[in-house]
Amino acid sequence: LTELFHNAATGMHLLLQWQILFAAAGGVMIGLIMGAIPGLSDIIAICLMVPFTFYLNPIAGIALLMGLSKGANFGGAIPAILFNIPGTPQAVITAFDGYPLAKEGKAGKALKTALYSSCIADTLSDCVLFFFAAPVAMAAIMIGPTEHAAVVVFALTLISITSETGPIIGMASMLLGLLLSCIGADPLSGAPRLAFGSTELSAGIDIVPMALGFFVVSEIIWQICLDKRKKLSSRELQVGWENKGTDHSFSFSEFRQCAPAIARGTLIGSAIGALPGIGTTVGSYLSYVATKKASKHPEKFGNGALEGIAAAESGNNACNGPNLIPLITLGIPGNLAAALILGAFTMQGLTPGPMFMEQQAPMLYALFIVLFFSNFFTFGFGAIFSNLIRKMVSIPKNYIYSAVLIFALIGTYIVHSDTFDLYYTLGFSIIGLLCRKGGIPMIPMLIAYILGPSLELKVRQTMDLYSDDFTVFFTKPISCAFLALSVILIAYTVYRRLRLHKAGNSQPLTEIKETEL
Amino acid sequence: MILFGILVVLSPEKQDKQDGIELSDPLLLSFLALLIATIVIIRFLGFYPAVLLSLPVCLVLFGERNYGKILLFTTMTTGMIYLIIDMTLGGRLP
Repeated sequence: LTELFHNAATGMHLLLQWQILFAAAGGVMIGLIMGAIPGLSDIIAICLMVPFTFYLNPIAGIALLMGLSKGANFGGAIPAILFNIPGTPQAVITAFDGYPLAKEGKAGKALKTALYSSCIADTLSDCVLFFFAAPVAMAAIMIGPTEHAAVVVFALTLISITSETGPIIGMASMLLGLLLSCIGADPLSGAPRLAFGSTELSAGIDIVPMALGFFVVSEIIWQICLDKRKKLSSRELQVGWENKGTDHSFSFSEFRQCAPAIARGTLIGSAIGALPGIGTTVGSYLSYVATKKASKHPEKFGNGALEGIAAAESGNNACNGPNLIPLITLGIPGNLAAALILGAFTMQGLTPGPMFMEQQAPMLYALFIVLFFSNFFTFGFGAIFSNLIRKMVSIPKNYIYSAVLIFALIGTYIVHSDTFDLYYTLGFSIIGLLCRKGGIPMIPMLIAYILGPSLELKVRQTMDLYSDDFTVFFTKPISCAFLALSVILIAYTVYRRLRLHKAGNSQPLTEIKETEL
Repeated sequence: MILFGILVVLSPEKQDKQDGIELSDPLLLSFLALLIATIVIIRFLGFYPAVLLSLPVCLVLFGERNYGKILLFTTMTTGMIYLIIDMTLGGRLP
């Protein structure tokens, strides 16, 4: 504990650079705006900003991305409450009770509930990260390459089977990601692999063009086509609730009424966040369901219950802190946002993993403290600028999408100053469109692409250590447990999905309707 | 790749998520063509000519017909890119 506070004090000293807090504040503001604009998720925001972190020092760069993630998490709730159009996928659940309240003329009350719940849960979850990262890292140091490889396999399995299109497609996508990760130089011999004689390919493919192609360019093109098909216009968002009622206050008794929901959401979200692949939407959903079940008035849920908003927002924001524990201690990203942050770490020449906490403790604690500052910024900006930000929702999408496409191309170029990277973005955009058409999730592919080199290295280190004896993965208790758990998870999920499919009940979480909760 | 293909073919779930958009959608193909053209222009003419040429086309494809707004937006975006990348970050665009 003494060492923890010593590192925190050293980290605090690093924070004295104005650039870091400015980056965090800027990240929160950009995140709030981009999260509030439907069609631009937190993922698009992070993808767009990752290349720009290259120009900042490591702490400022990562602080920017973390601030972005936090800002976008709350920003998504703004259009969800005001227009019933979630700005981010995790805000779907917030809309269940937020929008009915807005229709009653209590939009301000709903927004304040969302803001307070988000910031409290986020701060508490950051405390979990602050106090638990070091013990987990200490445990991680004790495991060898065999166990590390098994943990990566387990994480990849979890990420694949929880993908919204189902476990089999998820695993297929993960395998493709692993295959893509083999492109480039062999990590041990340096010989080019799958390069087909191309010098550019033999250097490997960077994460930035891949992420921008998959999650920005193809997403924007897909959204444009969907919007045109549905004839959606952002001008349609002007709804008639604004002149109804003026109850925008949030009293202390209302806060006390929401406190159990916030506490429950924080616990559930923190537990979900620490597991790879589960994601904030699930945290939000489970927290909402648990609060509804525990409520004396479950009939109010879906009709404007403040506890519903508090549960949903605390559930999704509480995932933020613990989500970084596997990333920092094992180098395993818990979700796509963490994977992109891992990409940013790598771009800065830093490699998260078991030794990272020991080698970079002051820097990491500086980042942990920045998280608390980011919550403070989210609270401040959310309280001050919510009204202004909601006006941005009505900016025509034509302009926003065009600018995003151009910035995606700039982001691709500026990392290596190589125009060839633009072809990668084009290629991954086309693959992204094909995946969207075929219902193939891209998140397992990208995370497998990121984890592939680490998995390969650990497996080869194990093979070197144990004279190519592959059975060592099954004779060591920890690795055997993780591999067995992976097999059990796959078998159970496939069995369950097939049963549901036969019964015609297969439904992804993102399509859950309010009436079914 | 073989395993990937087998898993995709065997999966009973893939039909669930297929969307109504066809890959032959003219709008989708137009955007891809515009993307390719933009990348080619960036590679051979430079970034700023590419933005000045492709941003108006992109807006027209979106259905924007107010040419004054298109001109204003293109100029402002190009100026903003110059301010952010060249002036603030010290980056060099091709």
